[in-house]
Amino acid sequence: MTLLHVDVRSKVYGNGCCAIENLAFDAQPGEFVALVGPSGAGKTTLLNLISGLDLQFQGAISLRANKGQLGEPKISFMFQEPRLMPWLTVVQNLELVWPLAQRNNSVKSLTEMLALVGLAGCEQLFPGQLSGGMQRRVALLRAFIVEPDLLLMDEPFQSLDAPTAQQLRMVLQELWQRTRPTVLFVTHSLREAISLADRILFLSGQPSRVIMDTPIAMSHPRSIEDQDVQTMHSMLLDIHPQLLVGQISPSKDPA
Amino acid sequence: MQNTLNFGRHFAHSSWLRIGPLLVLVGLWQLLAVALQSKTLPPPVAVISLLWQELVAGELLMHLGMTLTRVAISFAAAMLVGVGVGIAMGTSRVLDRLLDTFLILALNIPALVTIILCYVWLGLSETAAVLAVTLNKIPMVAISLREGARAVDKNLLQVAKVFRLSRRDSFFKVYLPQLMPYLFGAARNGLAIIWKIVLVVELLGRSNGVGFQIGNYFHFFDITGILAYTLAFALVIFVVESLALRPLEVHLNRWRV
Repeated sequence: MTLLHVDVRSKVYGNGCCAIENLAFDAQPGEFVALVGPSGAGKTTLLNLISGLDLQFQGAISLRANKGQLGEPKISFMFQEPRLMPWLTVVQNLELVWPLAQRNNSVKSLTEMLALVGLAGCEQLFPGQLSGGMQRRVALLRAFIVEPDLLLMDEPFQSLDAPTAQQLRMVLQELWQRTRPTVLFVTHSLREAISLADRILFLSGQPSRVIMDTPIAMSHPRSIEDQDVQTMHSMLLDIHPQLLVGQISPSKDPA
Repeated sequence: MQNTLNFGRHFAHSSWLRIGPLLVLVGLWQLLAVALQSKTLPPPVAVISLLWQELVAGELLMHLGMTLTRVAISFAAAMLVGVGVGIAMGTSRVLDRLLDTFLILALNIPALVTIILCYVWLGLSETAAVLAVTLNKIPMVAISLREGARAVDKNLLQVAKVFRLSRRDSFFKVYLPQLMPYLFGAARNGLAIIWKIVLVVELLGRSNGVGFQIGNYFHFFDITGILAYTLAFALVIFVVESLALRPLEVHLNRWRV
């Protein structure tokens, strides 16, 4: 059964520029899907459409809750920037999005959750007192704490140094394996996509559509440095040298 | 180096930095009063002793109380309405266009005109007095809050929307904290302006309050009385500032590191 069904026939920006055209894909429950495309390919726009932040488009996007769950499916979003409320402490930031009923039913307390992402003892600090990497840990935990059906992530580890980004990818995989939401992970780094996803959707330049759908059959968790990840990366780029600018090579296409 | 720095910081924190200039001013005043020996410039000692007499035996507390009540009511009303109008105008372009002319007009109508019109149309009543002050202040609050509402970070509002926060949480925990600097600006300016207007209102159409008393002293050219009431007034302001506004601001700004 499908959790998310996306069929955007057309999304036009206010300036008349066509951002997305005939972009369609499905995502299954518990699937980790990476969206890779050149910058300006409308990836952020696509996430805004799926999350309901932007309602101006032609087409259909449907989302349904996991089997056995009542009510509306829950969406969560991790943005490019941490976007924590600077005037709320770490705990207050998390409690803000975490409904009281759910909090009371939770097996783990906030303190335990914070320890899980390596933020033990940071409860009462304000975001301004945390490093960029730590702020992202809070944002990551905030995204997972609501136990979403669908988690949208928009290049969340961009602008971090390599080791910090790697640590955060590890935390992400750990959190993801606990509750297994469907994840849509936007990135322009193919290595990052291979190291995280079950499946990669490659997008073209504007107007954006899906040009290739590649499953990644490797066990989790993976690191960006793994040999398998490196091999896959060079293999994909050997077949399609123009892949990251949004083009596949028709001559070498197996189809 | 370390020592000088510490000393500097200690000095900056000590209350001498606030009180020192004040003492210098009072000293100069005393010197000038003694030198001139003029009836129109009483020495500070005379002013303070009259203030004390009025406080203990006179009607100062009653007049001050009346004035403070008027200030409090019109301040609260002006902030409430001004914040509402300001947010509405900063958020909706249509409302902004509709109300902008009125806002500019209201901002520039002299306080005296509003006061006189209120007294003429509503009679020399308490309602007219408080309304006149409130009407004078609303546009200033609105204009400051409009700027604030325009500068609100849309990214944070998106967070509120995606995580489906309640309207209440979205407003009080995401939206309003962003307006705090504007609110405090409006409150400080507001208090200062409202004091001044309340006194004029009392002078023109009330039979009590600091403004009324100052009017009386003016008739008798009693400068000592005028200065004593002004001093009482200044003291109240310092108390409000240091016991309410500043601590509140420090508390709300503790996240700025």
